[in-house]
Order: sequence, then C-alpha cells, then structure tokens
Amino acid sequence: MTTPLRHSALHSGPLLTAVAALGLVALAGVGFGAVSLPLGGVTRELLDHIPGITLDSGLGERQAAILWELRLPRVVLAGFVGGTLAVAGAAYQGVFRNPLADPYLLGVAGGAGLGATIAIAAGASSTGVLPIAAFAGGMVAVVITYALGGVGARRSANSLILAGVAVAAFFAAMQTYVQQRSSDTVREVFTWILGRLATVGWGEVMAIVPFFAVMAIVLVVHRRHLDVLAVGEEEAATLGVHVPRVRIIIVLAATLGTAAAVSVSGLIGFVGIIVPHMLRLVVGPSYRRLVVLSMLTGGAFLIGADLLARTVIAPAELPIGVVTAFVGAPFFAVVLHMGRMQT
Amino acid sequence: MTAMVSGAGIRVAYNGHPVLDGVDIEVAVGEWVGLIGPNGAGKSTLLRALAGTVQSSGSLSLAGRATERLSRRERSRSVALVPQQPTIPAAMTVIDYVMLGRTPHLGYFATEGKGDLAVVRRVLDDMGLEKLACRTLDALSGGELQRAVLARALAQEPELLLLDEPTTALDIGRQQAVMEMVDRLRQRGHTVISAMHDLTIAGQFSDRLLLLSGGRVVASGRSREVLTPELILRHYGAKVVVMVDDAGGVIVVPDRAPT
Repeated sequence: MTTPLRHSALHSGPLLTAVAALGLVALAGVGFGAVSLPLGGVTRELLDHIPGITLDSGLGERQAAILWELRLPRVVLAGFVGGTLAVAGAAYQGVFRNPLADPYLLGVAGGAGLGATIAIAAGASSTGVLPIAAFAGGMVAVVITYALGGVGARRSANSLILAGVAVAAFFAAMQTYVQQRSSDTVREVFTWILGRLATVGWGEVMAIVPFFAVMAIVLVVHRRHLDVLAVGEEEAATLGVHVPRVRIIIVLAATLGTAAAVSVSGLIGFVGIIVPHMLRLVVGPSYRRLVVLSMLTGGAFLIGADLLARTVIAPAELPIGVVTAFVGAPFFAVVLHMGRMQT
Repeated sequence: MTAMVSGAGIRVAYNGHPVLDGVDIEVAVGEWVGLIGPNGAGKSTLLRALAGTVQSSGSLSLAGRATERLSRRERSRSVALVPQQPTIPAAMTVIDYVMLGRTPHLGYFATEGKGDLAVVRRVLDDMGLEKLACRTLDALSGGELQRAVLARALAQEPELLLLDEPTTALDIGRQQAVMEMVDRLRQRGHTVISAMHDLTIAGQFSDRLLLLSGGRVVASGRSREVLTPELILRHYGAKVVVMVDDAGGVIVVPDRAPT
C-alpha cells in the first residue's frame, strides 16, 4: 500500500476537531457557573440571534441577561486571550527557535506590569486607564528590548532574548519600587498580575478584537516563513528569506496581540507554552498547521481553565493564572520527561 | 565559454580580520571546481560570499549578472548552498524539509502549488528518498540526511550548487555515492563548487582545483598541477607522497618515515 505523498498543509481533520472542541468548551463555559443555565436553552438562544433563524429559547429574562451580559462576553474574551497567547507563543518559539520562548519573552509582561502598577498606585484602576497603561508599558518595554538587542540587521536572535531578560528584570525592579511606595495597593496589583477575566459587558472584547485580527492575519500570512526559519538564519537567507525583516514583522504582530491580551486580562502564564507544544505532539512541527490550530486550541484551553477557575471554589473564584500554571507545570514536566520538546 | 561565476578581488573580513584577501575566481557553466586548502584558508567563507550570506567587497557576477543587481530571491533561485553543518529541524518530515527549497520560487504571500510538489517529487526520486519522504529527519542515517540536505538544495533548481564539505562524516561508500550523485548533476548542466578536505577525492571528481591559503588563491589548475608535494608542504605543512593511478587519477597519501 502506498500513501499519497503530501507535504504539511492544514488538513481538515485536526481543524474540525479543534473547532468542535472550541464550540463544546464554549458552550460549557456559558452554561456552567454560579448559576447554571440549561445548555439546550443556551444553544437555542444563541441560534435565535443568527439572522434568518427564529427559535424560542425558553430562557427567562434573568437567564438571558446572565448569558448575554456576563457569561458570553467572558467566554468570548477568554477565547480571544487564550488564542492570542497560544499563537504568540508558537510564533516566538518559531522565530527564536527556542522551545521555552513564551509571549512574555521580550519584556511585555514586565512593561505591562509596571504600567498597570503605576495606574493602580495612582488610583486609576477603576477607570479605563489601567488597560491603556498596561498596553503602553508592554509596548515601551518591547521597543527598548529591540533597541538594545537587535534592530541592526545582523544581530542574532539570541541577543534579542538576552536584551528581553535585562529589560524584564529592570521593569520588574521598577514595579517593585512603585509597589513599595504605595503598599496599600499591593493586593490589587497582585490580583492583576495573577490574571483575571472578570468583564464588564463587551468592552474588553471590543478592545482586543482589532489587535487579535491584525496579529492573526500577519501570522497566518507568515506561517510558511516560520517553517523556513526552522533551518536557522543563514540557511533561511540562502533560501531567499530576508530574515531580520521577517523576524521583526512576526515578533511585532505577536507582541501587539500579547500586549492587548495582557492589558485586558493581566498576566496569564503557560498558555503560550503548553498549547503549541501539545499541538506539536499531535500534528508535528509545521507552522502551516500550528498557527491556526494554536488560535483555536488556545481559546478552548483558556475557556476551559476559566470554567475551572470560577466553579472549583464557587461562588469564589480562583485567579485564572493559578489554574493555567497548576495544569501547565505538571504538563511541562511530563513533556520534558518524554523528551519531545520541539520547535 | 560562458562564465557561471566571475569574481575579482573578493574580500571578506570578520570583525576587522580579513578572511578573504582579494580572491579572483572564474567558473564556467557546467564546470566542477574543487576548493582545497588548510583549515582557516577561507574555503567556507568563499562559498558564503558566493551565496551572499556574508558581506563581501570586490566584483562578483553570477551567470553574467552583477550580484548587487540581484534581489535576495533572484540570487537564491540560481545559487544553492549546502553548508558543512546544516541546521536540522529534527521533527520535520523529509518532504516538508525538501519543500523548503521551493521558497525562492514563491511570492511573499504564496503557498506551494502542484508544480512545486512535482519538483519536490522528482528531486526525492533522484536522491532515492521517495520511500523516506514521510519520515522525520531525526530518523535518518547520516548518508540519508546528507541526501535530504542535497535534495533541498536541488529543489531550488539552482544553476550553481555550492557544497561545503559534502562528504565529511560519511563512510567511504556513502562518500562515493554522494560524489557520483553530484557528478550526475553536473552532467545535467549544474555548475558545482565544492570545498573539500580529502585531496584525493577532490582531485578525482572535480575538473579543476583551486588551492586557497591565507585568504588568497595560491594555485589553480588540474589536479596534477595543484596536488604536488611542494605546494602541499608549503600550504598544509604536510609531507605527502603523490601517486598517479592507471586512469591518471592523483592519489595523495601522508609520507611516513619507516620506523
């Protein structure tokens, strides 16, 4: 028997599986919580909003309000944040050919943390200033990282990573200093750092969607380039790829998405590492598959983690960063043990 | 004679240290030139300068076109470099790896089409890799891996093939197989420039040898003109015996005083 010779493209099997998983987890996410909603009613209510379909969901007014004002925005936000972090992680791992690269590699987390801490210390946490301060801080940190480590065309990927380490440490130190100066806000800063997806309506979703869209388009366009980068900078150059240019485009797109995600949800660790590595075990290392699948699976993963975060000790909530790390750390150990870490 | 490579006064410096110090090189279409010389003579650097992955000064044309007028993609459509120690993405399949060779033929937003797959199939066939196409690279033996790397270079459909020590780490059977394969490519019209340590093999397979030493070309010509005990002693610091076999091939072996 001969199998037809095919190179890696996005086959429909894994794609459909990921879409189905995302749909099911999202349905569970809107259905379960402090108040459970009937899944059939939720499904009919959602279908009812598709133009051309009219269904009676049977949900009461209060249930419908919980669905549309609380659950759905939160689930959709978790989907976008998880998808962003996972695909940004995958992209960073590809660009830097480093399996440990995560979306916070170039100092986004440190910069956003400082921005958020300053906003909270200044008493502006309840206004719309916090996400803007976090976003600005994250972008400033990455710009400094790039200025230190690698805009010059011939600088290597490693010098960029090292610059990121230095910038992250510097921003973390500044953040600690600001926190020390206004110690009454420590708890609030800490809550932000652990990540949260508590939403007030659809505002956060609207804030992240444009950045997600830009990042998704750029990364999908560059999925083939990410595969070429796997042979290293010099060989990629002999294949006609302008490596420094491609690298900065991919890194900027991934960073933009990450900064937007961090600004609306704080620091949620491990998603950007676990999801791409899990997918590599299943579908192999090609970015033709990984880019799209990371977005879908990352979304499903974070919606699931959020579901756990708000049901395990309901009505109280666990910080979502605790849940992802709780799942992430053992998973990481298992993957390391299996010796299958790949970029 | 049409020149595939025509370079004059090629200079390359790493951190201010000259590695190539004014190299002149002319290679005809379909010719196989062997680059020999001691470690650090500049063989790999010359190949990189031809491929355009290091900054060089001097003049260089490929198939009659000055390299400064070629875009990166245009250049990689006509020149393929097989490095001495290629970076191997272990988990990638052979077919995906060879498909990377199509990169210079694709537009920025394009993905590979049927034509690209046809080229890749043909190359896999040529290199005897069709049965291994869906294996991952880490599951290949040394000889198979070398053929996969060569296959990726061939998928670029280059006119000029640059090989840096293509047979290092291969046993004598695999060495011979790879060299015969390269010879068949040359007969089909590819021009080949290969850096080689093994002087006997270099002399047997290439049409002409270029002896580099200290970043300069110190001798050039047929193997019998370049592989002389005097030149090898002067530039490698090695005492050798040079013999000629019945077919006219030159054999270089170390000269050991009887104990």
